[in-house]
Amino acid sequence: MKKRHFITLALLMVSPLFAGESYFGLAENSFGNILTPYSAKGLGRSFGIAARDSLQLNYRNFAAWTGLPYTTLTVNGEYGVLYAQNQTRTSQLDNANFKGAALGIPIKPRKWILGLNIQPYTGIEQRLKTIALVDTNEATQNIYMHGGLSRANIMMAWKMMERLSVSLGYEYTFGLVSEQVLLDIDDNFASRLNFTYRNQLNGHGVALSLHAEPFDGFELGLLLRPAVQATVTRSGDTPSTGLNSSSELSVQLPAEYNFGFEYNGIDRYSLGADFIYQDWQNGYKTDGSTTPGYVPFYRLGIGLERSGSPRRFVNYSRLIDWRVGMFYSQLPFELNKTAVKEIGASLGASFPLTRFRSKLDLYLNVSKRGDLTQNNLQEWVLRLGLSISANELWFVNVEN
Amino acid sequence: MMKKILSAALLLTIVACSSNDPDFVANPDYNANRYGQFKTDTLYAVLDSVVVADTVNTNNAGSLTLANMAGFTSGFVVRYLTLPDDTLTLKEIKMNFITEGHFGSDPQEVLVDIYEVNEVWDATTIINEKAAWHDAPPGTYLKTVSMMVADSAESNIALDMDLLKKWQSADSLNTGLYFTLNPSVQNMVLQFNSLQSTQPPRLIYSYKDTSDTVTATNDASIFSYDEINGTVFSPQGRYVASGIPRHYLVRFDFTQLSTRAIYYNADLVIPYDDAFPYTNPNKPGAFTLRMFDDEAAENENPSSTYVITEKGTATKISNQSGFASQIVQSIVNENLEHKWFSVEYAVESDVFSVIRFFGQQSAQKPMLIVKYLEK
Repeated sequence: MKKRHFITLALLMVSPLFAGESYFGLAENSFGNILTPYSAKGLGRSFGIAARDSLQLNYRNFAAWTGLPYTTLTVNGEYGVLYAQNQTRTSQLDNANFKGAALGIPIKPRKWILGLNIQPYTGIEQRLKTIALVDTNEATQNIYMHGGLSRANIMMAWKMMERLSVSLGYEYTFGLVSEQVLLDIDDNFASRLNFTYRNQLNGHGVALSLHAEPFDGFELGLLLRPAVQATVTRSGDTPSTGLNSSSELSVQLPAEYNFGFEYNGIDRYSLGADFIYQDWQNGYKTDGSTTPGYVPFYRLGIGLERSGSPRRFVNYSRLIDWRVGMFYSQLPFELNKTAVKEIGASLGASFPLTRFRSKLDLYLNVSKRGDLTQNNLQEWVLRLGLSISANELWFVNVEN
Repeated sequence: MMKKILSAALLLTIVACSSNDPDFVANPDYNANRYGQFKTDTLYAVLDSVVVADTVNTNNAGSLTLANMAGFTSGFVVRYLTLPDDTLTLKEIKMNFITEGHFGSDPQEVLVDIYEVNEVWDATTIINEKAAWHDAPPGTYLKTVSMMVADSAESNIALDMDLLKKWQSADSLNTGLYFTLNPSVQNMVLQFNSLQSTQPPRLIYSYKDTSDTVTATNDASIFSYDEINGTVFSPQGRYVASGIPRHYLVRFDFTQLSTRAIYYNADLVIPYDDAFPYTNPNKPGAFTLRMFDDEAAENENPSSTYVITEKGTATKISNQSGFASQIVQSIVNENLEHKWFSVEYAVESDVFSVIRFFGQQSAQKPMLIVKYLEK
C-alpha cells in the first residue's frame, strides 16, 4: 500500500509538466495567470491564511506550521474543466495541474519547524490558431505557449510565544515560458515559418509571515513577500541569428501582501476571510519600466467551515469537515482595456483517516472569469482538487 | 476509499494530459504583432558586371547552328561514316538537312560555305567537367550552296562523287564536312535538326531504280564570338546569352536589411529589354542563379542553383522561399558572405539567344525584393 501511494503521489507531482491554463494571460511580458495556491482546505472554504492545522500544511502562511507534531507532507493536485467564449466562438478544454507540495519537519515539535515548499506561481498553456492577411495571402499561425513560474521556499517557523508564531523563508522564483509558432502563408510558395521563443526567469526573494491568536478562537495570519528582483533571459530558436541571441532583462515582480483571519468560537463552526494584494500595475517592472496593460491583482475570499465531530466512536459521516466559500479577484492584466474579474464559489470536505491521524481533503470550485461584453472573453471554470497529507505516522506499521 | 480516490485522481490527470486543448481562433487577448511585423523591402543593385564563361558546350548537337549575328558566329561539322556500298553504281547522292528554325533576317534561302575537314576534329575536350571551347576545324573550301530557311524545309546538297569515293577508300580520310554561313549573310541564326532529333542529317543515294538513306554518324555545332567587336558582347552591355554562356554579376548591400528578422520570401528581379532584336523568339529561355566569390565567376559558393523564369519584362525566381531561407537569411546571419549573384541564360538546345538586362546604372535597376517577419 505504501509503495502504491508513493507511485501515485509521484505521478501527481509530475503533472505540472503538462499543466494547462486559461485563455487569459497573453499580455505583454506575461508569464501567465497568477495562481494562488492554498491547501485543499483553504480552496474548499476560500480562505486559509490564518489557518493553523496540525495535520495539513498552510501554503499561504508558513508561520502557521508551528502546530506540527510530526514530519508532514502535503501534496495538492487539481483537475479543471474550462469553457471559454469569445465574440465568435466557444471552446472547451481540460487540464490537470500540480498545485504545490510542502514538507514540514519539526526540529522541535510545535516550536521550531523547518519547512520546504514548492508551489506554482503563474501558469500558461494555450494553443492558438490565428488567421491574418499577409500581402493579400492568408497566413495561419498555430501557436503553442506553455510554462509558468514556480516558487521554492526553504523557511524556518518559530513559535515565539503561545499565541504568536513567525517565520522567515528564502524564496527562489523560477520558470520558463515557451512559445512555439508554426506560420503558414498561403502564397504561391507555401511559405512556412517555424520558430520558438523562450523567456526564462530566475529571482530571489524572502517570505515573512506571522500567525497570532490574540484571543481564544480568533486567529490572524500575515504573509509578506517583498518585491522579487529577477532576471529574464530571452532566447529564440529561429532562422535568424539576431533573434536567437539571448538577452537578459532585469525584472521586478511586485511585492505580495496576504492577510487573513479566522474565528472559530461558535461551536464547531469557523468563519474567516483572506485578502491578497499585488500591485502589478506599478510593481511589475522590466528594465526599470512598468508595462502597460497591467493592473493591481487582488483576491478576497470568505468562507465557513463546519468541523466534524471530535468524538471518535460516531458514524463516519459525522467526522467529515464541510466547507463553503466565495472569492472575488481581479487579474493582474487588462483585456479590451478593462480589468478582468473572477468571481467564484467553493465547496470542500475533509475526510479523516483516523488510523493514520491524517486527512484527505477534496474541493470543488466554480468561477466565472472575465466578461464577454467588457473583455470580449469569458470563461467558466470548474476545478476539482484534492490534497493528500501524510505525516510520519503513515510509515509506522501499526499492525506490528 | 483512499485507494479509489487516488485512482480517480490519477485517471483524471492522465485524461487531462492526453487531450490537446482545442484551437481558439481570434483570442481577443492576442496581439497580432506579438512576433513582429511582416514587411517587404526592396534592395537595388549597387554593382554589376558581365563576364564570359570560360567554357561552353560547343560540341552540343541539340541543333546544328549556322549563325552570324552581332559578333556571334557558328558553324557545324557533320560526318558520315556509314556510306553506300562501294560496289553500287550510284546515280546521285545528296546530303539532307531539315530546318528547325531561324531568327534575324528572313530570306527564303541563304548561302552556305562548305569546307572539307582536313583532320579528325576532336569534340571531346573537357575542362571542369564541361566541353571546352573549340576552334573551327582546319578545312579546305569545297563549295557554296543554298540552304532553305523556312521551318521544316528540306535542304538537299549534292555530295561530290569523288569525295564519296575518297571516304569509301579509307575511314582515316573521312574527316567530315564543315558548314558555315557565307560571309555575305548577316544578322542571322539558322538551326537544323541534329542527330538528337527524329529528323537527323542523312545521305540519300539512288542507284538503278531505287534509293536508300543512311544517317550521319557525328555532328556538332561550333560556336564562336568576337569579344572585341561583337555588338552584344561589349563589357559595357548587360547581356546574358544562350549559346555563348555569360554571367551577369550583380551585388546588393545586405547591410540595409534587418538582422532581427525571419526572411521567408526573396526574389531577384532584373528588368530586361523584351524588344531586343537578338533574343531568339522561337525558343523559350530560362535563367539560372548562382553565387560566386569572385568577379571571374570561378569560385562558386555556396554550390546552389536557383531557376529564374521570365515574368513579363523581368526575371522571377521560381523557389523564392528557398532562396530567402537558404541564401538571404544566411547572408543576413553572416554565415555566408555576399559577393556576387550570377545570372546565366539558356534556351532549349543552347541555341543562340541574347537577353539585354537593364543594369545597375540604368533607370530600371535590378532589385532584390525580400519579405520578412521583423521583431
